[in-house]
Amino acid sequence: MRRELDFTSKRKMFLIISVVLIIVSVISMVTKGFNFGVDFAGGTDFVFSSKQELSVAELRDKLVSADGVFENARISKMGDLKLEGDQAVSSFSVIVQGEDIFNAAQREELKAALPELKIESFNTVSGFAAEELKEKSMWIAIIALAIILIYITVRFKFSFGLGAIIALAHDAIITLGLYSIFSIPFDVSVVAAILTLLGYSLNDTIVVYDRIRENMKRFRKDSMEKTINSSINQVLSRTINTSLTTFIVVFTMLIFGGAGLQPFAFGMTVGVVVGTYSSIYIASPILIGMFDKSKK
Amino acid sequence: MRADRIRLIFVIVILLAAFIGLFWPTSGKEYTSFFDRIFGNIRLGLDIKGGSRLEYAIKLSEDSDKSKSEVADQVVVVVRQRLDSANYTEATVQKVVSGDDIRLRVEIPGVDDPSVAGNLVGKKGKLYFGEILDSQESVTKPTKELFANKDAEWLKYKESVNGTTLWYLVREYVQIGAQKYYLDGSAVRNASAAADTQKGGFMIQLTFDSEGADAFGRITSNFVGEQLPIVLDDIVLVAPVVQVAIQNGQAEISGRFTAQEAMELAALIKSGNLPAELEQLQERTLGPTLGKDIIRASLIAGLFGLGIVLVYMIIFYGLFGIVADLALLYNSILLFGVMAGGNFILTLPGIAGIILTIGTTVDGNIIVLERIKEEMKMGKTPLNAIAGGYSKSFSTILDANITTILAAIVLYYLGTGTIKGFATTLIIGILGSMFTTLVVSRVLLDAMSGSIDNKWHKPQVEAGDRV
Repeated sequence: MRRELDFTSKRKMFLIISVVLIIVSVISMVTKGFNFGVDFAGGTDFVFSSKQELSVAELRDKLVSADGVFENARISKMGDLKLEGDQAVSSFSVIVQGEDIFNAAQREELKAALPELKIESFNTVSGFAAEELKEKSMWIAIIALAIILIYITVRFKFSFGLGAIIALAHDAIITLGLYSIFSIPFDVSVVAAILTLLGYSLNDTIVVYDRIRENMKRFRKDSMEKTINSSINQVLSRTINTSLTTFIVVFTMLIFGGAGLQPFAFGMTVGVVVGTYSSIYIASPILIGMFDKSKK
Repeated sequence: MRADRIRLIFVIVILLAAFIGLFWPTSGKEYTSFFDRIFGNIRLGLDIKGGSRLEYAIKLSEDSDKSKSEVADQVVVVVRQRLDSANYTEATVQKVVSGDDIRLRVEIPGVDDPSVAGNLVGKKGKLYFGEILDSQESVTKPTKELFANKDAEWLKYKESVNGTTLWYLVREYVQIGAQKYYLDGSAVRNASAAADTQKGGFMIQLTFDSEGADAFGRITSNFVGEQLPIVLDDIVLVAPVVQVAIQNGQAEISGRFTAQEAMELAALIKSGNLPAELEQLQERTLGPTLGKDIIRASLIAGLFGLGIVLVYMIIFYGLFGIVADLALLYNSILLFGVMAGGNFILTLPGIAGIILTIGTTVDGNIIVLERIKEEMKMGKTPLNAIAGGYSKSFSTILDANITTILAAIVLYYLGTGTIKGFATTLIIGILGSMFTTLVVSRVLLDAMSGSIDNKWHKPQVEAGDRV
C-alpha cells in the first residue's frame, strides 16, 4: 500500500504560521498602506511636446534624468495635435503618481532642466478606478461570499462553506499584505490578479472538498481526520500538476514580462502558491476542528 | 452511440462558430502580418493598443444648487454607466482639475470609435412620454402661437417624411382630466436593444418600475387610438398609435433602428439624464500605456509558459496529455472567437481571466484523467474507465466551476468598467473550459480508447488497498 503523506496532524503549526502571516499583513496594510498607482490615486497630468521625433522610452529617459518621480509615470504618445505653425511635433501625455507634487517653482526647474521639451499643460487628474471601485467593492465582496457560502452549504455542508470562505479571506489578506510589504504598485490589473487568484484558490478548495464529501459517504467509520488526510492524498497528484502548470505560466510572465507587467504577475504568482497552500493546509484541516466540535 | 454523435456534432459546430468569429473580416481591414490576421478581429484595450482621448467642459445649468465638483462626480457616474451598457467597459472616465475648472476626460480604446463614443458621452439622455397637441409638415420649425399651449414645444420627428420634416407640438406631460402624468426616463428600470421581427431593424424594449408601469397603464388606457410620442433629447423618436391599454409595464420603441443605434439609445435611456451639459473641447489619439516592448515581452512570456504546460502534460500523462493539450487549444480558440465575435475588448485584466481559464481547463482535464487512471487501476477496460471517470468527476468539475461563475456573475452585475470586462472574460472562459473538459475531451478520449494501453492496472492489488 502506498504510504500516505501526513497533512493533518501538524495542522496547528500551519494554522499558527497562517495567523502570523495574516497579522503581519494586516499590520503592514494599516501602518504602511499601499503604493497606489495612478489608476486609483490619480496624479499629476502633463502634456509635453517636442520638436524632434521622440519615442516613449527616450522621453522617459529624459524625464527621469530631470526628476526621479517619472520612473513609474504612465506615458503615452498623442497624435493629431493641431498647433499653429507647420512644425512637426510629437506630444505625450505623462501622468505621475501624486497630486500637488510640483509647485510653480519646481515646474520652472523642470522646464530649465528640459529645454528641448515644452510643457503644454499641467493638471490634476482623478483616478478612474477609484470612482469605479470605491463604493461598490465592499458590497461586491459581501454578496459574492454570501452566494458562495449558500451554494457550498446546499451542495456540501455549512462547515465546508465556512472553511472555503476562511481560506479565501486568508489568501486575499496575505496577498494584499505582500503588496503592501514590498510596496508593489497597486493598479487595476492587480485587482484582476487578486480576483483571479481567489477564483483559482476556490476551485482548488472545492476539488479537495469534493473528495472529502465522497469519502465521508464511503468510509463512515473513519475519523474525520483520517478521511480528510486520505482525501488530500488522493487528489494530491492533481493538485501538484494543476498548480505547477499554472505557476509555470505566471512565473514566466513575472520573470520575462518586464516592469510594466510586474505588479500583475507578482499577484498571480504569489496567488498560486498561497492558494494551493491554503486549500491543502487551511481549508481542509480547518474542517476537522469544526466537525469535532459539532460531534460533542 | 447516439450520445457520442451528438457530442461530436456540438464540438465541430462550436469550433466552426469560433473560427468564424475569429476570422470573419469585419471592416475590410488589410492584414499586414500573420499576427494581425489572427488577432485582427480582437479589439485591444487602451493599455495594449491605445485609443482616443476626448475632453469635455462641464456646463452647469444656471438653476443648479450643487457645486461643480459634485456635479462632475455625478457626470462621471452617468457616463461610466452609459459606456458600460454599450459594452465599452474598458474605456476610462476621469476628472481633470486645472485651477477652479473641472473637465471630463474619456478615453476610448481604438481610434475607429470616437464618434460612437462621442454620441454616448455628449448626449443629455432626457427621455419622456408626452402628449401631441398638433402636428405640421414644414422645412423650418413652426412658430408657436403666443399665449396658447405655453408648456408645449415644437419638436422634430426623427425621420424626414417625403423630403420635409414632420413637426409635433409636444407637451412634456400627459393630461388626463385634471391630472398631469409625467412619465420619463427615471421610471425606466431597464432598456435593451432587440431585433424587431415585425417591422425589421432593431427596436428598444423598455421595462418600467412599478410606479411607471402604473402611469403607463393609465395613459395608454386613455389614449387608445391616439398617438403617444416618445421624446429623447428633444427629438420625437417615434409616435406610435396606442392599439390597446398596456398594463404590464413593458413598452417598445420600434423606430427601425440599426443595431448600433438601438444599443446606444438603450444605453442612454438606461443610464438616465446627465446633470449638466457637456461641450467637447478636444479629441486626440493616444498611444498604448504599457508600451510595445512590454506587450511583446508579455506575449512571448505567455506563449513560452503555455508551451511548457503543453509539453509538461504530454510528459506526465502521455496520450492523455495530448488530449488535454488539444482541449486547451480548443478552448483558447473558443475564447478568442467569442471575444472577437462579441466585440469584447482585451486588456491586461482580461489576460488575467484568460490565464485562469487556461488553469481551469488544464485542471478539469487533470481531474478527469486522474479519475480515469483510478478506474483503470481497478481493472476496467479503457472505454469503461472513461465512462466511469467522467461520471465520478462530473460533480467535482461542476461544483468547482459553478462557484467561480457565481462570483463572476456578482462581479459582472455590480462591477463597473474594467472589472465588468474582467468578469465577462471569466464567465466566457469558464463556460468554455467546462464544455471543453466535459464534451471535447470526452470525444477525443472515446475516439482513442482503442489505442490506450492499460499500464496502470496491476492485478496483484494488495488486500486493504483502497484505490
